[in-house]
Amino acid sequence: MGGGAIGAAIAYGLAKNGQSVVVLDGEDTALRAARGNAGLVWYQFKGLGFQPYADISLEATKHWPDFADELAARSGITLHYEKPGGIELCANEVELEQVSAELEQLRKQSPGGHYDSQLIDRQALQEMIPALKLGADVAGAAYSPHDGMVYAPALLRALHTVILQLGCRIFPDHKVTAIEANGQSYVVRAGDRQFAAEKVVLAAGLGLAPLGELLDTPIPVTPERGQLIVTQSLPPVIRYPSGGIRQTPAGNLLLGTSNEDAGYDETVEVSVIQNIAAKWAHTFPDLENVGIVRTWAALRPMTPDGFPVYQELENHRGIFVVTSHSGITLASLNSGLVARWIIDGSASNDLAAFSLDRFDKARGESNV
Amino acid sequence: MTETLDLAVIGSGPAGLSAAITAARLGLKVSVFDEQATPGGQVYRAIEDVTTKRPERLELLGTDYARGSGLVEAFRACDANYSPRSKVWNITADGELAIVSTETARQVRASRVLISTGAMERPMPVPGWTLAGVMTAGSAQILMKSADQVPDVPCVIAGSGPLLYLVAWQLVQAGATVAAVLDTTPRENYRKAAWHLAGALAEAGSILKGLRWIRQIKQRGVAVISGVQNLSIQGEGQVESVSWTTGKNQPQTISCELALLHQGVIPNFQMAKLAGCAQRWDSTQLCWRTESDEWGATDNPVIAIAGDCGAIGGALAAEFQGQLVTLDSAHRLGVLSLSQRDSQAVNIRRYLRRQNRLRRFVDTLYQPASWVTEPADDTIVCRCEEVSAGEIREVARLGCIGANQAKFFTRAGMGPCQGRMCGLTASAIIATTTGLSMDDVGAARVRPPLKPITLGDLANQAPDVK
Amino acid sequence: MFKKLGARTSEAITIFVDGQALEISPEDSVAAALLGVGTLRFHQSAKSGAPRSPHCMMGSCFECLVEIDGIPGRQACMVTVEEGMTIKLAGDTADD
Repeated sequence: MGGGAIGAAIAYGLAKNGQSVVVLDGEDTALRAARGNAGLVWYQFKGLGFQPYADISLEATKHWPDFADELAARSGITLHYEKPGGIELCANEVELEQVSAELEQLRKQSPGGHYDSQLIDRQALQEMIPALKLGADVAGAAYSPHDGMVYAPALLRALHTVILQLGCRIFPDHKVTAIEANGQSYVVRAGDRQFAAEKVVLAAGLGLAPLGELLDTPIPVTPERGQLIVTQSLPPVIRYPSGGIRQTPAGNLLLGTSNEDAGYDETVEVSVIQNIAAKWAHTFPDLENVGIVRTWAALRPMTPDGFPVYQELENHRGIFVVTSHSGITLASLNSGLVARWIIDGSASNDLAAFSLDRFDKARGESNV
Repeated sequence: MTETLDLAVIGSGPAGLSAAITAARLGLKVSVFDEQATPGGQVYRAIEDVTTKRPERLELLGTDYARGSGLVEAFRACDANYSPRSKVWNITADGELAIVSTETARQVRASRVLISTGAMERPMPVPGWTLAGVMTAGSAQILMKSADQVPDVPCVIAGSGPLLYLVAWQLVQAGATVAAVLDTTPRENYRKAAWHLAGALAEAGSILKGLRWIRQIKQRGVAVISGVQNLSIQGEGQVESVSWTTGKNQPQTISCELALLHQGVIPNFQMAKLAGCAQRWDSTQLCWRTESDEWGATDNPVIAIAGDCGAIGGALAAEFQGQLVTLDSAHRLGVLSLSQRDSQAVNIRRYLRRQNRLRRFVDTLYQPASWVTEPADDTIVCRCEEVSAGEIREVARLGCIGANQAKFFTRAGMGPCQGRMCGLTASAIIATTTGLSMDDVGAARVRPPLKPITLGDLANQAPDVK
Repeated sequence: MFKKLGARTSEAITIFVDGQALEISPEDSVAAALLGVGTLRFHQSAKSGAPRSPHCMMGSCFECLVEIDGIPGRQACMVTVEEGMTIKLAGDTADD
């Protein structure tokens, strides 16, 4: 359930492994995080305080080149995947200190004491972005060779294409209304259809809470809004993607971002994009006169700790819950290791830390 | 700093101007925002310049156009504030406008916002329509009005709709070389339109005028061809010729350097959609109609609609709708009682109800053919991103059952025009390919900025620059 | 492509298009002025690089995008010419 980055990648992985798969997707205007991201394939600074997430992020970025090559070859669609390495821009000294502290923490928490990202100073940063003059306050950045970017719409289109090529089916505008156990398998009702399945994968992002209700299993995914500015198409000016700025294959700059609690409201808020604009006009003064083509707001599916969930439900064996707000990065793993885990339970140790019940435990331990 | 108003009017065409005049008369605090430098919208574009600097052109441009003169004069004389060169780039559901004007960016909050952003020409995607030198018939009229310019190269005018013969006649009268007028009005439209007898009779004057234009341009040696289909435009980088078929005949070609296309007008509904107003598909006019009652009121108590941006009704209807919206707004603001509102609106309402019924004739006559609304696979639909009709069909078959998914998968609608030129065609193609209704397919989401602004424009207004 | 119907009624002004000085009417839009001197390539298509010229003259088609006084991507049909205006054609800011 869910035809976004997570659902489609898993479906592809399952289909590649000979499974017969049906993907039930939401309507055209559903809350689709797959449509609301910047296409980063990212390792840096993920998993602060939670090493397993840092680990799978690294795994995912390592598998991405092969994943991309295979998907592009099968679908005939160019993904525009690049892995030049990524930068975490520090707009000022305060951000540099913050980044430095986080790097330290990430090194400490990793078993070998090693974290593959290094600080670079302002001069080195300017050399990496020769076409855009750095603003006066820019202090430097963190750089990692593991980071990259993809053109997300092409990724989704490619996944949908190969899912169909492999003989599986996608039903758009088919929200699930019932999931019932039927002996060793399940009957799923959606739209005016009914499906019998041995296994069910719940990958519907912000649509997971209602699905959880159908199964009497709370799935705590809540929305966090992020907004973005899309500039006019420019000649290549920045090669390295960054958490808040990247250039798309068509030449547009994506400038972000924000982290807001706005409920399910996907409206662009003027004050937020003004702040984003101010930040980037200050970081790269050359961008002052660049035209804005579009802005948008999208909702990240956030679990309580912000880290992914990979869980086969205890009370409903054969039903799997998969969610994260890093569906693009994890697509390589989702179509590989995760698909195999769903098929035969292999690699379940790698995913054990991403249980749903860690939230129950956390709730139990808190004083609130 | 936020400016507060009783009524903010977006667009200075007939609807916006008459709304402002009425609002000022009733003592409401009203401002009209328009991105152009002078009032009049498109239908009365450059009316002040024409009236003062080249009044002899009024005969060529017509009495309908000349009417704008009095309207603009009344607007200038009234107490409404006028904000030209002002781009309203965002609107919220509670009536907050974000504006970039030549001096500074502004924020405006109004108790009531009237969206009167008018119409645009229906895009006519035919092979070769992105070549340099392909323009709309309306744009030729705009150049006549605003710059006193006419083509100095041979041109072809092709399409169907109220501007086709009018612009052809105007250009010929002005001394331009019109090689041919290619009328794509489907033959069956005449038969279907004739059923709307009352409307036909009401339009008798226009019909006779049209016939007179056709006769006069034929007399000047312009080829006038009906039943034209499969229009296509050829050239290397710019227009060199236009081809077409009629019936089962062999394709014909004519040389030209300028091709003027026309398929009637459609509502410019982007602002209304951004404000949260719902659109419904009109299966006669083949366009998105923004829902409002006869007073222009929408589901949202702050937002009102008047003129062609809601549904196509023409300049006169727009003028009267502007008045109705303001009378109703004044009532909502407590300035007019219900009976005062109603008594001042009696004649206007009667006129508009009648006009609505009579529109069916014109709407049926000029309904575009399906080879126009859903072009062949290799025709470019999205000009900005060069996405073909075939590609949209392909992703519709892949499962993109709505405008937003199709946009995401193909980039159609992601370019500078943000779907204005391709949206209607894309949705129609998806609907036919999937068998869904246009209302189910929908139009793609509209996002700010509605007009080009720069990063600096936004940055300079940021509330908290760290 | 386009010519004036009558004589100019106001004093001509000078604008600069890709460095070249042009004498034009003060009330014209930038698009009208450029069409009046035969400009057929206002910008190029982002994907194929094909030349594009104004299509609608009313702000809907975004084909008349030019750089005016240092600001790129402005709709030439919506901007009135002014004395000394500098206009750059053919696409986006290149290598400033």
